[in-house]
Amino acid sequence: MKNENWQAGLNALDASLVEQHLKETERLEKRRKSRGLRFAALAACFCLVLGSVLTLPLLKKQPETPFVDSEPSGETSEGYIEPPFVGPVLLGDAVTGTQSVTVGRTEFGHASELLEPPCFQVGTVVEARVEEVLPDVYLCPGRNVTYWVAKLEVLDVIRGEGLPQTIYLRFCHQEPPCYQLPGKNYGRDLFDGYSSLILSLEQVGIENYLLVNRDQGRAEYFPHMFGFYFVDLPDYGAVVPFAEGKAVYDLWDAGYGWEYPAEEGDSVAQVKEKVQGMIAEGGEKLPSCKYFTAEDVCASEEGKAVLGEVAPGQGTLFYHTFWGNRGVPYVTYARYVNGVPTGEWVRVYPERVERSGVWLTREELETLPDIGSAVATLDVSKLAPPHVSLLEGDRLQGYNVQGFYRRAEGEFYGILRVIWTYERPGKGFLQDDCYFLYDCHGNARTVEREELREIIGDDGLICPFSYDPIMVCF
Amino acid sequence: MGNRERNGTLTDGEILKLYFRRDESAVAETDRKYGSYLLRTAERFLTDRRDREECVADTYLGAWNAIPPEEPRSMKAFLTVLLRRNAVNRYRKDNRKRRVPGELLCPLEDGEGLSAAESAADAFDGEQLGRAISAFVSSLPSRRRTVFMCRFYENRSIGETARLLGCSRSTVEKELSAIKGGLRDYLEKEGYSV
Repeated sequence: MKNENWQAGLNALDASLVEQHLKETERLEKRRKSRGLRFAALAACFCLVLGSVLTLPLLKKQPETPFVDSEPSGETSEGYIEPPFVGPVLLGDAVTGTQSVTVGRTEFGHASELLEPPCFQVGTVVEARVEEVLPDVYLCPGRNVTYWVAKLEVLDVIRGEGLPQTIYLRFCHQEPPCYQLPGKNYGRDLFDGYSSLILSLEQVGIENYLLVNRDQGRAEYFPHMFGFYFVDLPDYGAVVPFAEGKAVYDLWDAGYGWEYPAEEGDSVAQVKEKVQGMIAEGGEKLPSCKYFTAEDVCASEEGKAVLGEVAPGQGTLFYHTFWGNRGVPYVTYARYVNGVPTGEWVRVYPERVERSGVWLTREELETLPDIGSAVATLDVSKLAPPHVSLLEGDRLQGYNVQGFYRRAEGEFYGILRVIWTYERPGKGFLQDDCYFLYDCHGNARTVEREELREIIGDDGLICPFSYDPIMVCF
Repeated sequence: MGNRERNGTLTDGEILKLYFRRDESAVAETDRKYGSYLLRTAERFLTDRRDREECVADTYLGAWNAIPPEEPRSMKAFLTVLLRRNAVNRYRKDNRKRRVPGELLCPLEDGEGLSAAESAADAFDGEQLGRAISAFVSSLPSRRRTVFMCRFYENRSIGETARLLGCSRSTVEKELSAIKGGLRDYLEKEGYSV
């Protein structure tokens, strides 16, 4: 059911029910107030007796930090942040096409969130022309990052085999500071005025991307999506822009990737020659750059069976990435629910199939708490970090919200993690985190790291940093 | 002016008479009596103060346009219904401004399930669905009904609902879980895809 219909249904609720409810709440309010008055009188007497006993130790030891220093929707009390409400996942069927994915309800994902993103420092190099930068802004639901998507025509493959002629390139529209480094924002006009680009693609092989078109409110599928990085040295970059056929210096920005030399004013041919020289130097150490498809990898009977298991329309979607490490291609399918990995994955090699050991039944899927929606809508600005003492002048660098699913002792849990990073001017940085634990029975609570560790084990999602303001000066 | 209540506000009957006479003081009297209640209720849906004030103003305009011919039995309930519609619409409008895709927002979630525009067709569906939900809510035991209305209709927080009912948060959470399970089954039986 769509949100708007649900809300329209609520708006059309029988007026007599509303009337009845308002009378009932008035009655309950009155009862609460009278109870409160009686309690206040008793409490006042009690406080007189205990006041002197309690005051002294409190004066001796001030609490180290007010856990919550703002009142988000009246939902917090000292020392506790209430988990945001999360309903069960609503499963739907998904239909994929070559250009788009229609998702009946709320399932989409992002391949780079997978366990092993196929990221190469050295990979495919192409000369390409930017046909257009798509007009809409795309959202990675698993992370709070938005992208522009450029459609590129491949003019020449300098390194790599069998690349399609049209590829899509994502670049940051808006990236809030992550908990380690500040992010970068770029305009849609980033590539305006360039006749072509020589660029090192971040991923080799192909990566099928499903991004949410934020402006149109739908999921879209890009069959050949790559990412790339800039290098901050203009004469040693991972992307070389050409204006009227000559290399120019005005695109470079901070980043990393395969760096290759180019001097301002170099022609396309001269840069190609330099890149070819680097490839020759790399020799056999360079990984394979062969382009392949899911059907190529899943050609065995077992592989074909996996393709059936992970096909769309099974109530949920699987997202897949390819990797061709050391010449052996494989494809990994992983299930994401509303952008959150469930821990279920199956990896197909030409000769064998590996599985994560986690596989949810339909019933389990239906009772999963909907962490993805919480990640997408949680307003962290209304929460305060619970463990660190902030000083006047501390500046919020950013926060990071992520969702995870974990199975522990037969139970499935959804875990929402919030990480804050503050800058203390002149000193460095300090971080804090909090965790909300949801089970499949509709219960939710805030847990500390140690308790979470007891439940799910020593898991990488539990942050290792200290709450103490250990400063790292850059 | 006629019958006033102990706090100096007019009775609902007197306020209604002003509306029927097309006396513009009807709005001022409505505001005097229900203004703070409506603002408080709007706060559960809208975070921005200016939005809340505009939403309440829209509610008064809605009441002015609707009465007559409407002659609400309970002015408070009538205004609550109008306010909720306005608040939801405003929330959606804000979401559109922020370009949050509907897919990111999940139905059957408190206060988060508010997204795309409402069309005439949606309104028709809404009426039917409203009847189905009403029937379901009417069948609930009293406390559960209150939990449903507080959480889903009034957008109260779990903590606030628990405080109102004088029970723990986890009790409210359990009630909500049971309500959602029951509602899902009920709506599916009624032919809705949930």
